[in-house]
Amino acid sequence: MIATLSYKDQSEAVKARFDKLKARPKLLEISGLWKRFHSKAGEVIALKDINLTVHRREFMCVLGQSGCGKSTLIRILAGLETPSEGKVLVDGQPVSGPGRDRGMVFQSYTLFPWLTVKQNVMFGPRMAGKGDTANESEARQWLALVGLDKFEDSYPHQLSGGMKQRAAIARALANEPRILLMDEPFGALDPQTRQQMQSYLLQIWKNVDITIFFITHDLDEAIFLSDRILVLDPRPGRVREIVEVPVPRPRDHDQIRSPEFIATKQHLETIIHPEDAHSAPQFDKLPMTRLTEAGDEVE
Amino acid sequence: MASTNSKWFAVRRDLDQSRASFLMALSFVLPLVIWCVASYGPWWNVAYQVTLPAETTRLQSVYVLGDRLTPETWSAFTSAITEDNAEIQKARDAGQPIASTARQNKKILRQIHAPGVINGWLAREQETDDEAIRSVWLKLAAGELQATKQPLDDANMNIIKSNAEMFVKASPEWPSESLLKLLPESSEEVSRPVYLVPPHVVAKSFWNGITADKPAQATEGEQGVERKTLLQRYGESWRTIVLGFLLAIAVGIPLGILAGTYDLFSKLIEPFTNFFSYMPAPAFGVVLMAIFGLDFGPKIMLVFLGTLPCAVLTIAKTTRRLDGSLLEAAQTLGANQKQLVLNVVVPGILPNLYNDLRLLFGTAWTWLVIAELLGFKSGLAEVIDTHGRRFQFDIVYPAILLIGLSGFFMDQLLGFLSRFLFPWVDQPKQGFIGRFAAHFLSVVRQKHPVNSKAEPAAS
Repeated sequence: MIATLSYKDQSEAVKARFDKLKARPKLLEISGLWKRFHSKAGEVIALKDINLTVHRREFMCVLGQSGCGKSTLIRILAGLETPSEGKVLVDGQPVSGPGRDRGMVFQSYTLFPWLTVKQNVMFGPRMAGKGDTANESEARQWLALVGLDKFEDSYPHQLSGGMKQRAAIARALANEPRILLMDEPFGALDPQTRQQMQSYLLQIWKNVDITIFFITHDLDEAIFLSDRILVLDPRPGRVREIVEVPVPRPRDHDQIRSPEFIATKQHLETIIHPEDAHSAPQFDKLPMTRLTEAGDEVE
Repeated sequence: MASTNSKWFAVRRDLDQSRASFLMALSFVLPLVIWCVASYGPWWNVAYQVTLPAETTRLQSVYVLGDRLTPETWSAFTSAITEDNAEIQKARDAGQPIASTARQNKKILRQIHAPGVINGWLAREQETDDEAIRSVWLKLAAGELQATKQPLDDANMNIIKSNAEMFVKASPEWPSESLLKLLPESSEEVSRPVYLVPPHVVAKSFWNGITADKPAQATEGEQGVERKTLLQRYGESWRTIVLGFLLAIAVGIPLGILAGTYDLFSKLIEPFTNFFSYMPAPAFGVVLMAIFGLDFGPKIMLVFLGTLPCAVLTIAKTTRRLDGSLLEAAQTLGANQKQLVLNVVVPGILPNLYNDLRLLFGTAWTWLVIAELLGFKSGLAEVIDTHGRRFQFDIVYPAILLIGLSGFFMDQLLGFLSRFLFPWVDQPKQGFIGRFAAHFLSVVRQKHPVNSKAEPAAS
């Protein structure tokens, strides 16, 4: 199917949705953000002048090739790295270090292996000094939300990858953060589980008052999940474009064949892999001697 | 091997359960077999170990108590004494007895000392107590004393009787004519070297050692050493090693965790600790004795000093190996400095720390053996040292064996317990005890099925 639609053509409903979204208060403001690393080879610019605003209850994806600094960006938002220049405001408050207002989900699960699933979810509130009884009943609710209520007493090593990541999401949400930072959370999962997890995440997002900042390098995932996509260019990492996804909500995986979806994907492909589209395919033919006597039907 | 899937020689693949168990048993049986072959093999000849020595001018060598003689030397030895006696008897029969000084005759009398000690008639230090020795001769001749532990042969009993008559006649003076010499006696032994103690002897000595309820009597006449049973010595060893080890880890665990967590402490502590660990702890033995006296103090402190540097360095390393992303995750969940250490670092390293302690406890046994020789010797090292110096290797080996068994079973037990202590660790490796217990539990479960919770399915 050939897309006749441009990714910029939004239906009335989608347009109205975006208007509503932009009218909401600003939750995350990034202005003039630079990150430089000093190495023996000299200064490396990881992020160059990033400016971005994310509104409350928005689902924002960051898309880019490896080396575009998307992990550095999310680590700065989490407070695990400090910016060289620029400001990050969450709810108007400047970020100065890790904090409970920003929950983070890592690709490598990072569940505490010595705690059961329930105890993992209780960890954040426990650090904040919350009493065990209240904490426990709330942890059960969070686990029910991610569909892990039957596994509350299991240890992480007994769970599958998808279940671990659901537990990690519940753990981050139990702290009731303002924004959920997700660093390629489904990157280690097989494609089927991945799709399932994407649907789960949208359901959770719908049911919880949360803003999501999601890093991925998978185009389909970004389009399927997000309201807007921040596309970063690599070396130095800088904003290429902020794409408003025209695919209407509620989403399901059949929309992958919808014209809006295809148009968006085509556009993303051209801006993310420009060299693939234009430059000569220098790796197409390997310098190999022919070693087989088999017929020419194999190409 | 033709196939790389061979049942015995598969590269980097575990053997099946029964083969593994068989080989694990074999790894113990094999050394035992080698020991047996070495001890009982046909290459050791008969040797005669002198139990009753004699002196003669006919031979160039002098054979004393405990010497081991080849069959040829032994027969030359006995025939020389027999000839001596025949000469004396011949002269006596001819009415011209060979004259002899009291000193020469006393020497002959003293031959009874060695069997006298074993039979309990004389004390070890009565070697030159000629009056006591003479009364033993008289009592033996009169049948008042019976040789029960080391019997004297008939020829010697006759000589005793005839000599006794002689000095009864001469009493209270010593006889002026030459007395008959006692014929040398020996026990038949195998000529294996003294350090090669056969398994059955070690087993017997081991059993005697651990079942003895009172110390062996002080036959060796040593001064200043308290006699204790093997088990009492064993208890002393445990006390020293446990106290020294607990002290070392009480200091080492906090230091190690701090060094592994904060670069500040790492840079402050580790360089010197690393340097210190190159100075062998036993080298400080004399210093420790000067500070802590001669009793248990320096021993405990040596185990402490030997274990501490290693404990700090390994625990710091283990702490650094903790997955850093767990710390980052905890930070994003709002954990502060103190909570990070107490609620993430400590529980996170616990299983590895436990394994470190297992290894460290193993090496502590090495320090123990050296430590126990400081000042007043104590524990199993005392047993090894004292008896080793006297070549009593049948007592030395059980003590060494006891150390080995303690270390081995302690380690196996701790390894087995870790399954229960750290249920979150995926399938720890099983040792001997673990295998046995797992088998035992599975048998019990088959007989008494319990409704356990459904295993969580990995979806």
